[in-house]
Amino acid sequence: MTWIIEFKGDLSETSELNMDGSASIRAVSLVNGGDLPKALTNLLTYAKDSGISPSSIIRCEELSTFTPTLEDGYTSEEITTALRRLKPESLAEFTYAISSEAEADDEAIEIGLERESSK
Amino acid sequence: MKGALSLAECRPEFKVDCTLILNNGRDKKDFILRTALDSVAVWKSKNTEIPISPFQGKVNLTSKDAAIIENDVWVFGVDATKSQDVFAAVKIGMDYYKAKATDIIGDVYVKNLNTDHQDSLSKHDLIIENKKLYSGVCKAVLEAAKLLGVQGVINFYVISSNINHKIPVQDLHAALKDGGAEKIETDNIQYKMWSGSNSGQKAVIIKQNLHLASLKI
Repeated sequence: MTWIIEFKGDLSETSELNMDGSASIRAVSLVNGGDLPKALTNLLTYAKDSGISPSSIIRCEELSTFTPTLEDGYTSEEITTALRRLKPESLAEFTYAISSEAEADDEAIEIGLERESSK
Repeated sequence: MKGALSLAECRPEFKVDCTLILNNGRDKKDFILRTALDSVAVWKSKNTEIPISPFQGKVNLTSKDAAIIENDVWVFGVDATKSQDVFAAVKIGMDYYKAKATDIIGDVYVKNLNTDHQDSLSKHDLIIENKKLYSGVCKAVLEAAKLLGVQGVINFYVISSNINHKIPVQDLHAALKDGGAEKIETDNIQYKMWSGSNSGQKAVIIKQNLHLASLKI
């Protein structure tokens, strides 16, 4: 089974994904797991490998019954792309991730994000 | 015909926008030459869904794997801290685009360079290694440009957040100066863009700054 899980987590200074001094990150992920507890364990492991300590689950649904939307991380194209990368042995794959510094700044100029917002 | 050179690329999804210039300006480029440290085989294994048209780029008696990807020439196995690698990549780009060296290496872009040894380093040592990386790339670009007969000023653009723990802005500027930059400018514009991890396996939208180092030959 695959789950689509949006979460927020604390981002360590040394995380490979911390490139703008952010304290946290919000991500939407596709997660493998036979049941929800297993999926959450896999997500925790996947996140910790990248220096992320999940602090809250924002949304969680089973992918087979999920209908894509136009929201970042939930579009058909983003899900399809992440599914291609999600192998049976994989723990998880992000469909979308944004740092707290980027999310908090509404005035920053978006470069190359058109594909996200136009979906 | 005006082009640009983007070094140390990973996945096309996070490739550098080489039209960016200071103060949120745009400078249209007719073609882009991109290089990746990965071999073409490793790159393909990370990007199985991306169609590529591979070819062998020949430089004197040696050759490098290259490919057309989304209309850009990519050259693989390029260590951007090695002038011979940069030289070979630019020569391949010159042959393909029928362009002069200066039209490729005149505008160079790098985004969020980070040493491969991050996990084994303290924060302090990581900054030192990344400073060496940036200054090493500057020196390699300058040396390659000399070998290619380029004269004048090279615009070396760096995309990196001012508060990047891996190399804060003061350290970045010091590294660029050590690499030969005569002048470094950073504007006040903030950008949001995708940036990938070293392996390219994960990416996140982050806040960035644009820096311009002028490398004079």
